Amino acid sequence: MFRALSSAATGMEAQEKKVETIANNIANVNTTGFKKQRVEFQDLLYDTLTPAGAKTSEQTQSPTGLQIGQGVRSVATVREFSMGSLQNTNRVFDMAIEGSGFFKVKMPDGEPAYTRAGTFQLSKDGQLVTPEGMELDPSIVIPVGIDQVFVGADGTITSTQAGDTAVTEIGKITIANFVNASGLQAVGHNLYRASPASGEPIEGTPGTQGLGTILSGHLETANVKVVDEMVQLIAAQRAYESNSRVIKAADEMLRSTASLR
Amino acid sequence: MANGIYSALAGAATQAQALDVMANNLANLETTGFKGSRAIFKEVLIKADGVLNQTARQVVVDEVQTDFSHGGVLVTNRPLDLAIAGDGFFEIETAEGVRYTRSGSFQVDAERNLTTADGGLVMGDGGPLQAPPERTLQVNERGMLMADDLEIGTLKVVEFENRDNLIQAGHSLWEAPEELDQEVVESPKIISGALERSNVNALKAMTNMIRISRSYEALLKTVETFRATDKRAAAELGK
Repeated sequence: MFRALSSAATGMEAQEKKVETIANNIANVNTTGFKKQRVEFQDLLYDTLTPAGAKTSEQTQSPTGLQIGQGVRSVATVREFSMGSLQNTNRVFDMAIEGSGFFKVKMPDGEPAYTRAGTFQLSKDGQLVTPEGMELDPSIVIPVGIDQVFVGADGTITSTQAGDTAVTEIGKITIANFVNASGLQAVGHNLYRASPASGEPIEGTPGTQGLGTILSGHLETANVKVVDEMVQLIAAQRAYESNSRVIKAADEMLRSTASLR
Repeated sequence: MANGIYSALAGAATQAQALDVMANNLANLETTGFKGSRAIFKEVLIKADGVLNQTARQVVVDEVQTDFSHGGVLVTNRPLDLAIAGDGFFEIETAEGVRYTRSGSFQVDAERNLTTADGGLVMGDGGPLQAPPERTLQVNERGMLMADDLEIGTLKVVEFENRDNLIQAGHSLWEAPEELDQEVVESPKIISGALERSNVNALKAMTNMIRISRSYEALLKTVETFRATDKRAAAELGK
């Protein structure tokens, strides 16, 4: 019965993690480039009271052991990197990556970070930066006094001057991909950092080496589907309730044992 | 004193163990590929001086049997979430040795190996499955891991002659005893973008739990009745 109490407690703890993850997914339903997470559970080690195949007599053996489980643990939060939908904004520096890959930006500490949120702006020096002022890496400077800017599918940024038909190339956006994107470390602010699990970044021109292409004038919405999350939330809530009922049942049984006359 | 009090106590103890089993089932209500278990009771006769005493019957938990029926399917649309449609287990190489699982929430690690959520290597027909760089991975319905249109290998799905002999190893894995006969499923049916849910039925588990706690109370009441009878017998007969 004490095993029942602790198993149910692990169950409640696991469901709590699931609800927390769902809450974060739903909270970010309108966050550009957000990728939803899912908690993966595993059962805990079993308490083996009789091993399977133990001799029950000279000739016979027990076909099934006597193994009692001790609950559940959350083993990983799997991030799903499926594409979100594309939202048309008609702003040239709003960029979405169609396919896999991340924009590389420079964090204030100089370390690289990666993002799917392509809402770029110009800094006072004409550099392309994130809403928080982090520079795109390699850095791209848009010169003053140009008329129109275009971003190609392969990341080439070109411009035209007023009254001139000549097209000048100003820079090229490269994107990076990872062998195991699920292993990236989320650092908030829509940013991820490479980790030993994600592997080294593979940088390249958009549209090559399996990398996605850039679509200017669009933003990628979060890949969270509210209905799915709601269904998961209900499932988690009910599972939590069931586990709390186990605790109640074990408690009642212990109480009647204690009051045995 | 009557033997019944011991039978009732043994009964209560087994019900407590049955609750432990049920608690584990409910804790794993949302665990991918989890299979619920139930405690099987058996009656034992107590031997006194080598003679079976027919009135001293007791109950013990004989075995904990796993219900290997299939759980429902949860669609995730993640290409490396795999569910086995039908019987069989994925073969996983862990640090402790070869293990088997129904939980197909796989990923690719930094060395491009196909692994479980906690890093066990997923086995194919020719050893661990490893993805080539810069390709999109897919698994087709026959369990072939494809990188774009390149065939890498078929996921090894193993079926056992007697699944009851599998040993629970935790972490959603089973261990097979050496003597257990196994067979590789020739063309497994794999659903990609889906996971197999736990096969624990919350309604059944809750009903069972109520039955367990009521039985426990009834058995304790029996213990009390025996005690009261003995007390009265001692008091009245002693007069």
